[in-house]
Amino acid sequence: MKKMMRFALMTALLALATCGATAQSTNVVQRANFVLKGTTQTPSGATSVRVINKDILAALNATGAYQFGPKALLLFVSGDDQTPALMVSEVSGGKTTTTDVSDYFGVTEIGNEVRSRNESTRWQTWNFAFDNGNTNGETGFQLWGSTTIHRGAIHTPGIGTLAGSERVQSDVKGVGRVQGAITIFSGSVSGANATLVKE
Amino acid sequence: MRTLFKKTKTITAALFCLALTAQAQTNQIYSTVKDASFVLTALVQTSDGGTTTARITNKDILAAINATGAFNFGNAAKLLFRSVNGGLPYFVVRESISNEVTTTDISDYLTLTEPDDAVHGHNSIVNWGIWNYTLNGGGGTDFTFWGFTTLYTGAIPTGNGGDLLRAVSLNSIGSGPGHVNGANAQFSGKVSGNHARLD
Repeated sequence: MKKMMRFALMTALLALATCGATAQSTNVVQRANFVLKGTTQTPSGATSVRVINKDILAALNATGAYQFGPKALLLFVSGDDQTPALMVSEVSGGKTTTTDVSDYFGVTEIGNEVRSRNESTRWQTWNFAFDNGNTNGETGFQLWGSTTIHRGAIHTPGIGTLAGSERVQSDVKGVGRVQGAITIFSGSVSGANATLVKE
Repeated sequence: MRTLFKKTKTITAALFCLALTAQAQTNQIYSTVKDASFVLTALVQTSDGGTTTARITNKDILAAINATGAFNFGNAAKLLFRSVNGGLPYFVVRESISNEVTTTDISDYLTLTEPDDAVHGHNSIVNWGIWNYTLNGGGGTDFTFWGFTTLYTGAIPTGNGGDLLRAVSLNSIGSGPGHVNGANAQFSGKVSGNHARLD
């Protein structure tokens, strides 16, 4: 399973690399992983829900704009050390497609970061804003996260080596809706398996 | 007939007075206060490119508010959450000067907002929300902090033999960016409110 995931990620990266072959900037691509616990309103009180990548992909599908399958991957894609954009990649029939979902899902940095002396670590506050805009049961959230970015040399065969975000960890708290019900969230968002792609 | 009319008038007046009394009881505005406690850790950028940690508590917040030039709170000043009729609280500072108690609204400098609705547990005994605390202090110290807030409901004696069901304690656990003495900082920690009482 892990091997399959890695293969899918590599294929997605290759697709990212080939879809914009004219520009020559280098992006860092990481696999994004959301693990959120929600306390959600019910008619009689509150209950706990778990929101992970597959739920976010399902909510994106509920916009009607996408039809991501169960093997679709959520990615952080960032260039020039900027806050990443969210994209979804999937392999279907041997073909990899990568879709920018930033119309529904975005990440912004709030305030100013703090850096370690050797630049190996950066601490930032990130805001994750997701809303599928579904009038028949909106799912979305605003999350604020204390974010630690671990930097190092990222090497990708055929592309080279670049100092960038190797992995990222954000401890988040926030508020939103799960299928229309108000929900308070806490949890973690991480990015890992950094690879370089030429845009 | 005249007696009957007089009696009717008396009864009507009595009923009107009763109605007024009942209305006044319904419209009774209750304010409560809770002791507020900030215990934050700030990771602060140093001028030589490194980092250091600073502990930020009530006295630092009061010092930052004094540094705006608008106030001159003493060492014994108490930071309080004040809530009117169970609404979202705002911050006041209470201090006793020459046996005279003064209460100062500082909500222009230390602001509390709730970006979305709360989730209410069964019978609203426990409630959850996201609270945003913003300090606009002087001397280069400020922050914006998002906290996962849990509020516990209990009885507050009203002094006339009755009880008021209100949030008797709360805690907000979270993080956010800001500055300490002008240097970039990332804050994390806890804000709590306890010892609720009628004000």
